[in-house]
Amino acid sequence: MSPELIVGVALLILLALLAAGVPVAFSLAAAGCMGIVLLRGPDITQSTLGSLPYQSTAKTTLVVIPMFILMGVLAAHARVAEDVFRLSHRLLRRLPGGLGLASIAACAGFGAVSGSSVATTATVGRVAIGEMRKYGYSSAFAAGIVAAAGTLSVLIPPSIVLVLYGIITGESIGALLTAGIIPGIISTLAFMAVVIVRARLRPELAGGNHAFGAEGDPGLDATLDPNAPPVGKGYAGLMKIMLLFTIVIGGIYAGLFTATEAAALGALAALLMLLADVFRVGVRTLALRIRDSLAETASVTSFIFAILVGASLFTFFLVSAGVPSDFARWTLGLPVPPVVIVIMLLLIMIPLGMFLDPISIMLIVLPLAYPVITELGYDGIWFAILTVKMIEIGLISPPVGLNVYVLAGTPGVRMEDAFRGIAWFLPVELATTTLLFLVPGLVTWLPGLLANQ
Amino acid sequence: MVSTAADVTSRQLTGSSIPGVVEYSEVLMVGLIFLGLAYAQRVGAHIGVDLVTERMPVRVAHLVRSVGLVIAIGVVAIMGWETLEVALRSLESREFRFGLVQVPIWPARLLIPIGLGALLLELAISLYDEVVALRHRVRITRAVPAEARLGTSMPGDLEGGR
Repeated sequence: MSPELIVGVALLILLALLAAGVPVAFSLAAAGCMGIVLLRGPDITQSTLGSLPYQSTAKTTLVVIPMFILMGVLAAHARVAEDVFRLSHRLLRRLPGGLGLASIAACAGFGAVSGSSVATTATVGRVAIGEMRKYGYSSAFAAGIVAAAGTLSVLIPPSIVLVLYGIITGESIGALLTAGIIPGIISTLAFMAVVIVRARLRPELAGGNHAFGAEGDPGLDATLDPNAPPVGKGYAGLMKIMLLFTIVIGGIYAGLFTATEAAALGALAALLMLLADVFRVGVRTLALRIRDSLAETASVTSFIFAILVGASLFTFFLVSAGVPSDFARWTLGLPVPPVVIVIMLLLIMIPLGMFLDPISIMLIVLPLAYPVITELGYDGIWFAILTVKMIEIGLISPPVGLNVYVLAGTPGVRMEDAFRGIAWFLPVELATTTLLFLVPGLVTWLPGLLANQ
Repeated sequence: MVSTAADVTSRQLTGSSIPGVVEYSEVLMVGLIFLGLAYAQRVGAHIGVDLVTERMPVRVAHLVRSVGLVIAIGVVAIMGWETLEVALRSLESREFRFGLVQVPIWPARLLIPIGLGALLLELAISLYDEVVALRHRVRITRAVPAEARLGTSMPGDLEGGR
């Protein structure tokens, strides 16, 4: 069989397996195996299968991933999201849609300690949606806010997706993480603007005048969670986030330690914070929480690395068949200006993001797209942020945005409601991405400072 | 299984501060990943695409998923076998990783086939469930991805349980 035909067959197998509901990791591995067998024969396949699982996972740089996951999970158990939500509600309640703004702030704040948008959406959604509905927000509006703002987490460092981008392409992880800060802030403000405008135009969506500056309001402290032990005004959570963020990003930015070390220290700090709660919740609950955190970290890590192993098999096959170089030659030979190629590569991510998770997309698309981008003379870090933006747009787009799927589990929120709520945020996301596309300085300025130190 | 994986995670924590531990963390991480695979399968953390099978008639969906699982089992089995051979060779020669400190890597090599073997068992259980469901026409509700579970269940449940 000719290499082209083999690639076609392998792609068909991949699509068929994905459609059959086989987990992405195993689909990639099976399709890759089949391809290598057809292309190079069973012997090469055997030796590849024997050695690749170790080679593709035993890399020091990869240690950063479980560390960031652990930090996020521990922070979730330390209830920082709830704290920030409570605090920002107190500060923002005089603004129209104050509770909505607080939800966005909570997402952004939690995003500063967690690297996964799905985790952020789930964590914040659990608290914020119930509160918003209690105050008369329409469930579509409430779900839309959280699903959209949940995507902030992959832009605001730490971000597991950006770390993976660095590992796949060889860009500096520290630079990638710092590059996400300004776009993250811009996106946060843009989402907040949407909420304010919507709440002004149609106050009934945001619970009418009820949510406006209700001074005599018992406040969220009483209503948030009757079982929760009395906590301060939420400043503790903010302090925790600031501290973790300073350790991780400050440390990387100041050149004190590598991304891996920063992540490990962050996880350690988060663990200490959780331990400090021992006075509040007792030893047994604490031990349970830590055990759960570790188990969650283990399963999420394994799931990510399973995809990594599967994808490296598939990529090994693609490289053997010469696909990346052929693809690069073909795209570079297209009679269109470079900008069009970049836009096309970015637009492909949206449909992919609708039904695959960000990690798989990165692992499949980047080996093909990244060489083309750098060959065209574009900045790899700038492309990273745009890629992340596009995947996130896919994550909140109908018919199956993963973030929306997560929220649909919340009581009182139906899938249709959530997508209706999202509709207002999608154009804003596209606008923000366009802005970043047109003004690369917004992305590259901060990491540029890092490089010039 | 869980505790082993968790144990490795926590040991990794202390990692970066001591010199030479980088090599160890690398080897430990391999163990963590492959031992966690089976656990991830059990809690449904491996994300797949349900979009198509959800729209199929129930019986067809079970059949399709069963076939998919058989293929997955096949691949994992072959991978497990090959990594086992590599691991045994590595064990015989006491393979080391050269760095600041000499770190033996054969334990990590050996953990890969062990983890894959456990994954194989979990996959077989999933397959069994699908086949049973196929015969009894019951729809199995799939587990929510672990990442999604992350915040939705735990802290609140724990509080409530006290």
